[in-house]
Amino acid sequence: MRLHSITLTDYRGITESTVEFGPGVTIVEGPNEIGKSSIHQAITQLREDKASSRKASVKDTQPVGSDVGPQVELHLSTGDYEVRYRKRWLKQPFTELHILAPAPEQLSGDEAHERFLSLLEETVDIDLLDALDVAQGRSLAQAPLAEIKALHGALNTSGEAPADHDAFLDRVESEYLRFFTAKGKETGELKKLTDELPAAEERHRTLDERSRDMDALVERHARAADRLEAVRDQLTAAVTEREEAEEAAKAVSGLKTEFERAAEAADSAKREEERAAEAHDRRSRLIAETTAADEAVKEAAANRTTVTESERDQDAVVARSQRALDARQTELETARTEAKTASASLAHARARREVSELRRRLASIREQESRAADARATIGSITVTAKDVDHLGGLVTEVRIAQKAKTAAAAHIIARRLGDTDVRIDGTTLSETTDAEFAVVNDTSIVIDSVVDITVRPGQSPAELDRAVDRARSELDAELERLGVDSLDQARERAEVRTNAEALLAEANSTLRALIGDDDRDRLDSALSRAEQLIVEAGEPAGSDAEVDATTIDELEARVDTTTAAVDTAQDAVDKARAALDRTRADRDQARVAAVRAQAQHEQAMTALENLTARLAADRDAHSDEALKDAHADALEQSQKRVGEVEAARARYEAADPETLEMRLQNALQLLDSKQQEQETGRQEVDRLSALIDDRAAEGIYDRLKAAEESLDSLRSRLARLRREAEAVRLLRETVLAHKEEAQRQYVAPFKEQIERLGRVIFGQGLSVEISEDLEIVSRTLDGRTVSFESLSDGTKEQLALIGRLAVATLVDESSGAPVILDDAFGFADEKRLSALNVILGNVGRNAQVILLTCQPDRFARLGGARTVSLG
Amino acid sequence: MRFIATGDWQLGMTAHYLSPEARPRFHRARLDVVSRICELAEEQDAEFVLVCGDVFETNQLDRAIIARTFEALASFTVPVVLLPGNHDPLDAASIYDSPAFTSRVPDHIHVLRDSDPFEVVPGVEIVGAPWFSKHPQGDLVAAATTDLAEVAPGSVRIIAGHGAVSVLDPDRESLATIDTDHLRALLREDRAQFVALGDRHATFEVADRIWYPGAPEVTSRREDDPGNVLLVDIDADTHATEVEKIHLGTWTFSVIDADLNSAADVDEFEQRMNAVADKDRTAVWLILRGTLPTAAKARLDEILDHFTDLFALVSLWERHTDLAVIAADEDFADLGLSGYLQETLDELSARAAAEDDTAIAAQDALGLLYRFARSSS
Repeated sequence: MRLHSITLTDYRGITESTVEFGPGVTIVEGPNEIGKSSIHQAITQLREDKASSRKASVKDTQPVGSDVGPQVELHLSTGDYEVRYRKRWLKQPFTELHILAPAPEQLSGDEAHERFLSLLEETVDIDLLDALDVAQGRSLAQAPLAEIKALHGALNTSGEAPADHDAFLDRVESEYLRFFTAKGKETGELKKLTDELPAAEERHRTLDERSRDMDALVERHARAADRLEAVRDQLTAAVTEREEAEEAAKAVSGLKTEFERAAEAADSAKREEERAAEAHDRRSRLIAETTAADEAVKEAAANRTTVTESERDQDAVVARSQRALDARQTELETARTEAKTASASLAHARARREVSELRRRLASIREQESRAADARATIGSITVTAKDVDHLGGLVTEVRIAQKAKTAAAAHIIARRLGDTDVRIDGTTLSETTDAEFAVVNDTSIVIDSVVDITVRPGQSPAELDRAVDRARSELDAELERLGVDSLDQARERAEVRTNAEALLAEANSTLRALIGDDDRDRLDSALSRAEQLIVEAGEPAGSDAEVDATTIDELEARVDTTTAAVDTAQDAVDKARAALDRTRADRDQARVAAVRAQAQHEQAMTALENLTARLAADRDAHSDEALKDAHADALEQSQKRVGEVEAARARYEAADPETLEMRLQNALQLLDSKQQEQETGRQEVDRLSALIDDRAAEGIYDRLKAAEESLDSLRSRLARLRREAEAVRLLRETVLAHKEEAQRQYVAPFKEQIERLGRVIFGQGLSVEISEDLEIVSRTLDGRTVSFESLSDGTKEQLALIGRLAVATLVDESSGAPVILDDAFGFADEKRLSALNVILGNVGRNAQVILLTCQPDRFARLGGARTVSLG
Repeated sequence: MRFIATGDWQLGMTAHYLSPEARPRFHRARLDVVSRICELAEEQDAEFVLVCGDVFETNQLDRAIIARTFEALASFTVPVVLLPGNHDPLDAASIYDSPAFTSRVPDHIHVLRDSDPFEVVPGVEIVGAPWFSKHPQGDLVAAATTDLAEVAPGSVRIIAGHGAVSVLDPDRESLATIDTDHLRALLREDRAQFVALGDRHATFEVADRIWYPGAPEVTSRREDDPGNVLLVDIDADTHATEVEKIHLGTWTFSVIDADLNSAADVDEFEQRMNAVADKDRTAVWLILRGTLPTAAKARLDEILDHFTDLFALVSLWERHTDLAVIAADEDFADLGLSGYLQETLDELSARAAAEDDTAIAAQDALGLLYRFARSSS
């Protein structure tokens, strides 16, 4: 649909005005009072209100204060049609529809009105028309786009919107909600049955268990009853067994008494036998004792004789030993005297030898001492030492050096004899062949015999050299004087004498030290005095020089050793003799004691024999030996007989196996006891089970179990059915919603893209929007931040709502499209956004007709390709 | 001499698998058939009724069943002889020893408590082999009858036993198995004239004059020929015997097998179900196989819902049922699905055809999709 022009006559504040619309953007400017909104209102009124209408909104369009009919004429193309449509209201109202194309046609009145509507109906989507028409004050709201068929066509090739299957979806949803909550939890009957199931299962399980328990109880009862029956039989058997065992026990008891009696008799016979045996033994022992006593007496007497002889022998031995001891002691004394004499002789000889040695040593010492004294005297007389000689030598050399220096500095005479004539210089005759050189330090005479005598006088020598010679010479002279010698040679000679004396002294001292050794010189003297004294005391003259040689000493020492050994031997002999004496004395003492003891024993044995003999005689008077022997034999026989009887009784008793019998009896008694208890326990168990069973039998477990089973089965099958239904609807819903969502996503995609494309001019590249299935902008996301449409600022809302409309305008097919009419929109936009909006509108204007009604045309000054017309 | 042989009344038995509405009726039917046996006895001049074990479902029953049983038995004018079987043995919990039983038992009711011959009417004695526990340690019938002497002409001896006979018992090791040869010998040697056995709920002739009368009212879907009693005629002098099977049961347990691969198969199946008589006393286990389009499956579900209301039980025998659903294009074509609904359909169809655990859910979801889309279009 395209509007070409509109003419308003006597419409509100406008007397007559025609506005031509361009194919793109047309800006219609006019002050508010003139009524730019009038154009907007006029288009709507032309379409909606019949010429005959007198409603308030129509009346309001009559110019104030003039009685004229407001008139509107619109020239437009829609679909294949081009029409002029004119209406006047209130005064001489009329309606005219002039169809210019495709087939010219002229209509008027209601017919024209209806025809115009049907034309619109046929060619344009009224909803779209309304949606793109933004009356003043409506700009904040989004257009209801969902119902616009033209848009559907543009968005979806199938021409179908997601909302088309609402009825189906409602059915699915309501079916789904029978089973599930909106959040997908089970609900309603499904939930109820699911919840009931565990309890029903538990009830069934409990009853089933109870039923099985009942069966088990019955089985236990049967078993217990069987057991009780068996125990009853066992009890009877046990009673019989006990009776038999008791009978057998009674029989064995008789045998036991018999056996015990026999044993008693045997014991008594045994005791009798033992008594007789003892009497017999006693007699035998007494006889033996008497015999033994007799023997003892004889033996003691013999012993006594022997011991007395032995005593006498021992006394003789003691006397011999005493004598031997005495002899040995005498020998000892003699040996001791000899030893003493030998020792004295040895000591004397040694003293004499010491005296002679000491004298010899002292003589040597004295000789050496005198040699040392001589040497010391020589050393004392000569003061020149070897060191002094060296020093003196040095001084002589220095004098020579000084003189040499002086000579070198003096004039020289070098002369050779040429002929045979003697030439003497300073007394030296020159040889013919060689040159001779002479230093002129003194007046030197050259004499050629018979020719000439020349004296060469040296010039003044350098004083320094002279002084050096003088100094060296004076030092030499001083030293010579100090040493008391005339020359170096003399000094050397004297120093040598001194050195020899020193060597002599040293040798003498060394010899002395060797002679004296560690001893003291004085001690040597006193030792000599002592030794001499010793000899004097021994009766010899002190000065006796009788030489004692080593042989004598050795002999004396040997004699001392021999005599000392003899003393030791004699001492040993004495000791041995004394020990022998002591031993013999002890033997003798023992012999004495033995003799006394033998006598006492003999006497004692005699007494014992007498006693025994007396007792035996008395006993024999009472019972003869024979009588005692017979009595014992009788008793023994009797006892053995009794033992035989006991064995027989025991054999009879044991053959009856009393132990096993006893065990059998005890077992039978215990068995009886235990069986009785078992019977009692069994009976109680049977009674208890019977009571339990009776109790439960009355419960009607089967009926209850079956009822539980019925309800459980029914519950399960209902639940299974419901689950199946639920699963079916869940799957259907899930599938259909998934496809719907996908369809919707695809459906709104172009719209969304267009909005974002246009919107980015204002909001920048970070813009995206969410579009609902009703094609409403749900939210705006800018740079990752999402804000719902309702929460956006009014300006943004207005701009987005407008962009939505513009997007629709650009999307719908031109032939089925409608102009976008904006009445004083963008009141909320700032300068920057307004500028962006200009860009957008210019862009949209290339594909769609846009009519902007404004009282501030400056706001759209930057809109490219726009046509501006003025109203009024 | 004529008598009625029956067994396995299983009084007190419940059938939890039946619909809640059918359960009490089934329960009641077990007692009602007792009354019909009474009527039959009168009609046929039977001299007594012999019940061969498992009179009661279990010893653990609510004792109230006894009063109701006596009430049903009260109208009998002939003796009724009860043999305790494996379900109601004479053990410590025996229902026959409960005060409710012993204190109120009518005179014409006799419980075979041992194997001593019981002269039920003059000239006719019954030798029973009652169970004393659930697990007997031997052939009770053989033990009860070993010492029996030949029956003199003019007298009749009937053996009443309970348990599996050796020719039928697959469990050869079972100690309690009844030796069939021994029974044959008893009859051949004329030491007994008829053997009535309980335990098998279907009527069955083991051998000549050896019969399982079976349960008079069905108890399980596995039974071949339940719901009968035996009318037995024995000539006291010649011992000639005639046995007539008479059907008294009113309930039917059946298994219906159907291959369903098209809407037409579903229609045919519906007709088969419609044709079943006495639906309220019929329990049906369905074995359904095949592959159905979604629409046909939806229809099948409706049919099953419908019959579930009519029958005492309509149950899919899951173990044997193998019914797949495919999304046939023609089913959904009319619904004009478009856009994401079409995509949903495509995805679910693929999943429904997949060989995994979610296939069933996907098939169910397809059914829902079909249902919802049909009702919203």
